[in-house]
Amino acid sequence: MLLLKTNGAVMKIFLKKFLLFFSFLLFSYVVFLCIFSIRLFNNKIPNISNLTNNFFLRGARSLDTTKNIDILFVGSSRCNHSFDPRVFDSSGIITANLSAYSLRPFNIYYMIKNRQKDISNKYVVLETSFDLFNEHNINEAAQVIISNEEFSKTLFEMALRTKDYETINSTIALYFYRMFHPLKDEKTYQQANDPPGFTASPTDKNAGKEADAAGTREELVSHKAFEYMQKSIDLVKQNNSTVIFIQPPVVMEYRTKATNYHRLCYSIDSLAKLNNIPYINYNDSANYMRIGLDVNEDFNDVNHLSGSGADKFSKVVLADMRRLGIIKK
Amino acid sequence: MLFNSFTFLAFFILVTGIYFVIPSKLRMLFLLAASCFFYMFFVPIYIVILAGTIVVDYFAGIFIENSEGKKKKWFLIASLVTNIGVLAVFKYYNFFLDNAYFLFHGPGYTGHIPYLSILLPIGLSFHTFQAMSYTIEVYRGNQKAERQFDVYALYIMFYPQLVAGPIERPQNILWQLKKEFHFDYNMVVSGLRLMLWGAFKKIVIADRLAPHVNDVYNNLPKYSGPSLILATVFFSIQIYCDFSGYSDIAIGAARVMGIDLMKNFDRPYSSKSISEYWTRWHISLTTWFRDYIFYPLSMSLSKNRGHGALKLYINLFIVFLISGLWHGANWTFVIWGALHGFYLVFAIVTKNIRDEINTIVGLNKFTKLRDFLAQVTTFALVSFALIFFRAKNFHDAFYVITHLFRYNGLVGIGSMHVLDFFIVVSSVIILEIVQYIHAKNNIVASLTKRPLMLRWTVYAAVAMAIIFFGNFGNEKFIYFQF
Repeated sequence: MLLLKTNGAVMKIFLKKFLLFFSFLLFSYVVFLCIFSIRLFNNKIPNISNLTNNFFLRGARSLDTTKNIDILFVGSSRCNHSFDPRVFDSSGIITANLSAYSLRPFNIYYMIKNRQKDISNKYVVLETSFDLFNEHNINEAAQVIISNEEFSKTLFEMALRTKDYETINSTIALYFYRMFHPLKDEKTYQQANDPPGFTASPTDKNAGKEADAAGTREELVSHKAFEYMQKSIDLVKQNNSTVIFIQPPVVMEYRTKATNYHRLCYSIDSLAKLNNIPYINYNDSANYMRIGLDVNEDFNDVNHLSGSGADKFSKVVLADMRRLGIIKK
Repeated sequence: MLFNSFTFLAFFILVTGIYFVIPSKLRMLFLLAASCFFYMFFVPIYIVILAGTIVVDYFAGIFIENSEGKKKKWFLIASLVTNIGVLAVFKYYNFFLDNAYFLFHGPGYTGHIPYLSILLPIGLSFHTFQAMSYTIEVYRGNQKAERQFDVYALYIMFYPQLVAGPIERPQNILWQLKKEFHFDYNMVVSGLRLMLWGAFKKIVIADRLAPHVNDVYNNLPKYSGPSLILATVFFSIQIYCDFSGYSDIAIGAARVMGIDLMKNFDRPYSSKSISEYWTRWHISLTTWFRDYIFYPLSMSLSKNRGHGALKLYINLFIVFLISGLWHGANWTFVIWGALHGFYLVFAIVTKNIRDEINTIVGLNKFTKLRDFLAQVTTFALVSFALIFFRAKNFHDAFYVITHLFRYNGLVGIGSMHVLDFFIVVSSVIILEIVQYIHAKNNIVASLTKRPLMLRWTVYAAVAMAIIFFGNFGNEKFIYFQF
């Protein structure tokens, strides 16, 4: 009994001290974060990533400032390289592009959730490339979004859901960083003559050869990615917008080397049918041929279009959207 | 559930918290249940195998104690056969089959006997060795057979050391599991401190090195000689920080609960000879081999006359071959063990000649320089042997060895940037300084005499290093595969 009492007393002392130490630790953490928030330390600490990114930030800002947007493109860097807004502009269709490096359905869902105010009453084109239905690089994409958007509960939720320590730590760090360096003060620069949300990349004549030389591969697939895509569709529909699935073209050899390409496309098609969504796959041979892409001129690499490729592709997309009655303008 | 994961942190806090507050009578059972949960987190069904060997060894212990003469020996043999049998089936079956095919049919032959395509039960080599040490000690009369089944089961399953040791002796653990619990403030703090230090070694140093070493060893033809040398040296640091970091966390976690586990590492890279190295590296395994293989082997051979030195060499060699095989069912591990056996025999055979050379050259007058050179040589020999430990197969190992001094290919380490390099090098320097001071003058004792704020600042600095510089990619512990 005496021992139990002694144990209890010592434990209480320990617990008190432990809580005090834990507070001290928390305080040290905050102090370090504040120190690291000085620009000098920016991106020099392995577990703090600030991926403020020109192309995402320009796209996001144009979405904030442009009124009466008809079509919003959402997807990975491929989306940024594929849809040339000038082609749509010339037909009086106002577009915006919210794309980020390595964006996966997981990130798409949270990005849309975070920007619900911007997705009502318009057409939302979701990039549904066959090689994006996995969770590869979701941490980096999450860091890009968090680094380029104003803080919100949704972004914090996304960081936590990654279960990735670096992403969570970076989010907390960025929260402190933004106190000293508000997002509105981040500068963007004009990329050649490219409009916001679009990058017209130079041609790489070796893209075809590179794709040809690569061995066959099986693309990673995650059921969760399909679940998040479904959640994204639901979210867009809740905001009275229309979802369109578009799969931008890649070098033909690149897609033929993916052994599970057809299975993946079947799954994407099923998801589209289930939700009654128009789905155009531009890697499908007939559609691919219609664009008239030249592998030596129209690709920046195996899975990104060059400026000339984007021009050809955007024209076909616009024509198809009209032909299918998706847009009336 | 890896020790470097947040899942383990949550598990540890929960289990320790409950362990402290529940009545004494329930503590043993609770810890056993927690250890079962911990083990089942990997592959749940394997608990059946573990439970089976626990039951066999528990009864074997009692039967050994209650028997005499040949009967006693048979019970011991039954226990050993069970443990080694489980090890042979799960760890060595495919290896033996491969070699049998090779021996009788030549390379490339695959016969009709099916291979086992199952995962190795985690920590199998560790807990079977711990179980064997129990029955052997009971047989030798150094340990009374444990009558409380839950105590014996916990001796094998105690979660901090279940998957990668230290491989304990029953004399050290069983009494501790049964002693009256009292909350020892100093032990709890000391345990937590050790866990923090272990996490620093594992997460900041070993795990930051791991991807780069892996990159080089997985893409050997891409790299030049200097890169291969650097990757091998980095692997030596990685494996030390990985395993000793694990051991620190294990010993620390046990200490928090009032249980003292044996020391497993003692600055092995400061050794001035290979024999000294083996008194400092994976101490619990080395002493296991010494007590249960080397001594009995020497005793049995000493009954035969003549060639004492030769027998010693053969015994040493056998022990290290077995040690190599213990590490993994692959000839690369056997070669690694054989190399260490060779180093030791060579050191004994050439001791007089080396002493004479030192005298002639005059190195004996400069003891510090001699010791430094001895340390560097020992480290180089250990690192060289580790090439076989790290390489996926013979071909890769020989590739590394034959290209160590070639300069074609990439110079540098994989994707390692200046920042990573700086973090690793400065962390290793801090580690060495701390270990050096600790060896001279117990750093923990001197730290505890310092003011509270200073102590907390030191602990917080280590924690911050982990938080900001650690690699949280959940890299597995290298020794978990054994």
